[in-house]
Amino acid sequence: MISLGVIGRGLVPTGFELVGAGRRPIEFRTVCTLLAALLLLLLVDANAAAAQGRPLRARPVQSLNFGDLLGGIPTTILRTDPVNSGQFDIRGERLTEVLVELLLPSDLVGPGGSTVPLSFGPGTAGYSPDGSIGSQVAFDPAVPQPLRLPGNGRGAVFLGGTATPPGHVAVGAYAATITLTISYLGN
Amino acid sequence: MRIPPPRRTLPLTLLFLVASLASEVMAIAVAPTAIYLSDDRPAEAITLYNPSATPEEVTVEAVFGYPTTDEEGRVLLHVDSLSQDPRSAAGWIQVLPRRLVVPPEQRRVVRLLAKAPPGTSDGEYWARLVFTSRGQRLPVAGVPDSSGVQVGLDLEVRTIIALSYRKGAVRTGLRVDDFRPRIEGDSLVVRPDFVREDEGAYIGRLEFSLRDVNGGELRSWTEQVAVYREYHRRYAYAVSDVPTGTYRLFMRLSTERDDVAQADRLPSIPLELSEEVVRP
Repeated sequence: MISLGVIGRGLVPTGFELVGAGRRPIEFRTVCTLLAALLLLLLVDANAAAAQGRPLRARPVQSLNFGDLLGGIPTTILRTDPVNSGQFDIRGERLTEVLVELLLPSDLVGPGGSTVPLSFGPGTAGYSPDGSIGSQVAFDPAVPQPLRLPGNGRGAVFLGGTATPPGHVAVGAYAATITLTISYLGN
Repeated sequence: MRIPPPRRTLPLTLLFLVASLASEVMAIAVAPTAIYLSDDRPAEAITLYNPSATPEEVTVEAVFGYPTTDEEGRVLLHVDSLSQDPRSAAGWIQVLPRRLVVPPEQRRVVRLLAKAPPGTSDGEYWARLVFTSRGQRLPVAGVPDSSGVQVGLDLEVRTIIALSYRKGAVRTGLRVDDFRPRIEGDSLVVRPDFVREDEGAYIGRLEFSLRDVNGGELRSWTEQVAVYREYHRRYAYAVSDVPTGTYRLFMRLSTERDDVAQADRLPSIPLELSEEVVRP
């Protein structure tokens, strides 16, 4: 593939003769032709990728954040909370179905093995086909969920939950891992 | 000849657009999305791409699995890492390496080699490749307070792709045991009962077409289906805008899938059925 770079004052294909004293500057038409060729190559690549299916990707955007907890006081984060809800972006082949499965921890583990129970109710997860937090459709995070990607192949999963620290909880840092598993349903 | 400034902006704009598309930050990408091996072609390479700005630690595991449905008609992925299923290829798929780090904006290749045990019968064998990606540790918002309880939740991503190993001549087919569409409230509900025939999984396309008495199409829907054994999924489509009356739902099944390379498709004769639907 030909790569293009901006060198000096001219836009030139790297590896080619450049604009300089005594040399003929590269023609604008040539630049356009090369760019058109580059775009064509990208389109060909995209078509080849489409024949194999676009790779499925998920990206953690924001961790589910319970903030600082106080002993004996449950803290609930709604999936519609734009600052504290857990968020994953999902991308794949447009208009295909993706199976999303969330593996959720039952506890946060802290100092000396002390724990803070977590709970995730039937409506604490949401899927938004346009990626917007305001247009979610709720689902049960304990059940594998088939989700249809929209026309642009992008969607988002949101997650809320409740942390219930015991009355005499040990002070310190608590941690757990949420795992999101994605797979195409059509093969 | 100097390029006039106004005309120079177009290619520069295009170049920057291309650059921005290429540098979008996402977690690990796995390509291709499905692997087809055979006794003629027992090896394959998978490309992992990390478009993010942080290294990604990736582990790769082969397990037995396939999509299926539960009693409610919901689809799920049956996965069994310890399976003794005679259709499992998980035990004899070698993955090299099984653990690797993909640097930022870099690609790495994972190689697969199928070593079917001696005496393996002709047919199709299945596995799922599980790519677990760690590395995007997300900062947890909030004010640190050493006198309290701070909570950190890591988010981890697993991507699963299908793997099929074909030994000898493999064919596929499908039997439809039940196809009774009905109206439930404002939805058209279909629960066709699919049973795979022959050796290979039926990786196909399912098309529904709702037509009036004159054959005019009112609505249509397309689904991908993957029938490894039995598949009894419940499909529901909103038809609140369809007037009361008698219609006919046509169902067509084929293995014509654009996202499966021609060489990997198992040909089959398309199936076509239709049933009357009454919207009261």
